[in-house]
Amino acid sequence: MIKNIKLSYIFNFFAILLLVGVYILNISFENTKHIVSQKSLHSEINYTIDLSNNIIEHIKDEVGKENIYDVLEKDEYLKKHLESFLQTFNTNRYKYIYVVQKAGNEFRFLLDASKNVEDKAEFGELYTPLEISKWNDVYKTKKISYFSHKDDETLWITFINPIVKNGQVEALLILDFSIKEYAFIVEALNKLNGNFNYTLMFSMAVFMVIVIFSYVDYKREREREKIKIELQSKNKQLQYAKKYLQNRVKEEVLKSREKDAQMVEQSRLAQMGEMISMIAHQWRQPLAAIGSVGNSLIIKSQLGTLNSDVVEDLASKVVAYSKHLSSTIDDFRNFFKENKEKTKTNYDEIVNSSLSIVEAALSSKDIKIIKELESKKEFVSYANELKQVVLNLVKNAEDVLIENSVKEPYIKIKTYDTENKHILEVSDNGGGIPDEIIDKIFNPYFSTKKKKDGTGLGLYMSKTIVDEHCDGSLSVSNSSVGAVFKIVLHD
Amino acid sequence: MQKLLIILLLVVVTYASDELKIYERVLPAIFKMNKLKVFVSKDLESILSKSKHFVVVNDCNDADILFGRGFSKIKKECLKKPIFATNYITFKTYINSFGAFYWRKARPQLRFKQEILDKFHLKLPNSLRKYAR
Repeated sequence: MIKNIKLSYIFNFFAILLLVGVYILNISFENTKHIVSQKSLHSEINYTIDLSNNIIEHIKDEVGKENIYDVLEKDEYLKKHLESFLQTFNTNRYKYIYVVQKAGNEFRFLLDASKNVEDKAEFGELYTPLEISKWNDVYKTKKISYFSHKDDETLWITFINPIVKNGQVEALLILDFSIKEYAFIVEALNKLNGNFNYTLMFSMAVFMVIVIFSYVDYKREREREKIKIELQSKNKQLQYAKKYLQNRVKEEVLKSREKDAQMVEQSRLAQMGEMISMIAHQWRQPLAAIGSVGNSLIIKSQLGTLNSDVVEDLASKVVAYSKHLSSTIDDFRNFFKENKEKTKTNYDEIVNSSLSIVEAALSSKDIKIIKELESKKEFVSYANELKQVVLNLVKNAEDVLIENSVKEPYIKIKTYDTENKHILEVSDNGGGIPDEIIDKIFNPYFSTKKKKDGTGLGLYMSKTIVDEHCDGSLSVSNSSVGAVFKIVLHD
Repeated sequence: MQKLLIILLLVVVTYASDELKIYERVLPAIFKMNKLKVFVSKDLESILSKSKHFVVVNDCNDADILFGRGFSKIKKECLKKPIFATNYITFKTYINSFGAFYWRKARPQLRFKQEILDKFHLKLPNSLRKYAR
């Protein structure tokens, strides 16, 4: 389950937790700070209230019921005694302790506990405090008042306690006391509060960063989800396309196989036709000879010159011709027999065997065969298939020579060896193959034969045999007089 | 408005610790002079010599006023000149002391004696009349 929760959600949760925690801590600290600072100040104030009340009680006791100004004006001794009494409370903390009385719009000193001669006020000296309205307020309210003010170094409290006699404020007891400790506490708390504020700000910054990060992450996540959905959709389409293509490939492979089969069949039929044509050529002469022997037998029989010697002589000729016819059929049968395995062979055997089939036909058409058989090395290959290729190349050359009515036509068969290659070239003087079709002549069903109906499969099958069955190569180029087909076989 | 001005003045003095500023505002205004020749007590020499409104003189006879505290050792004829005191005792003791600025219980006190001002035909600006007795 945890794995399914996004990381940004966890970050957000902790960021909110952090923010809320720090905020609560901050509020709690603010309250604590307020309480501590107030308690601290109240403690100081309460102590000063008690102290000032005691001082006032003592002054009242000493002065009696008469007006304090009148008594002190007359009784210098009492004044000094009371100032000495006030001085006992004069410390670094209680810096100024004095008694003043309102005099018109100002005040006048009655008692001053100051030990510093420069700062010691005289009895009756006029005095104008800065916050005079607050002092006047004490006269009206008859209640203790205090307020803070700050000099260059320290925070001070001016504490005013009215000396009330007969329901009237007769004078004010003033205590200026330092609240240094309180100030330190407040300052420390403020610093701490500042740190808390920084923490809060930092938390907010962290929160903001995390929120931004989460937003970016959310957007990215959405984008990723979108891409994922798109990908899934594309994947489905691809799967569909794949299945469709697989089916199409199967179909096309089947079609191709059917086509190949048809092509092979067509090729075979074409070869059969060629074979029959060639057999006809081969058989024409012996058949004519046999016919001639038959005619000779008839004439000699009519003339009465037929004797056993003549019959024997003519019969032996017929047997010889019959054997020749039979051997011709064997040659053709062997020629078109499919090799199951590669055998040792050489170009001499392949060329001679091929030419023996076609030589008679070529001779009858005055096509000269030029043989330059220099290759003598043996190699391992499918001999019969190579013979079919050579025969096909020779037959193509023959067709071109006839079709173009070439004068002094010839077909040249040249073989030679290089270091590890065995090369056979079949060339003619038929004018060559036009440049625009030379790249297409090995394509299936491509034919240029006009008079003879070509299947367009001869060169395609030849190239398939050489390139794929025999691991060699069949290529074509043009010489100055005609086409040059080149078979290259390897050791 | 006047009160506010004075309070501000006093606050400036209190917190800026620059008593010279109040001297420069008060005394030239009373004497209606841009430059006042003053004979000062030792403690004020360095402070007033910096001012453009005061010329500190060495001979009290050359001074327009005596300025400072404790003039017991100066020539008696000089004591006839108007005195501006910087403590309560000088303000109280010298008969020709027409005004004072001093600190009492960490609070600034500005005071004038109307009688003496009149004697020297000095007139306080409106903003300072409040402090005259």
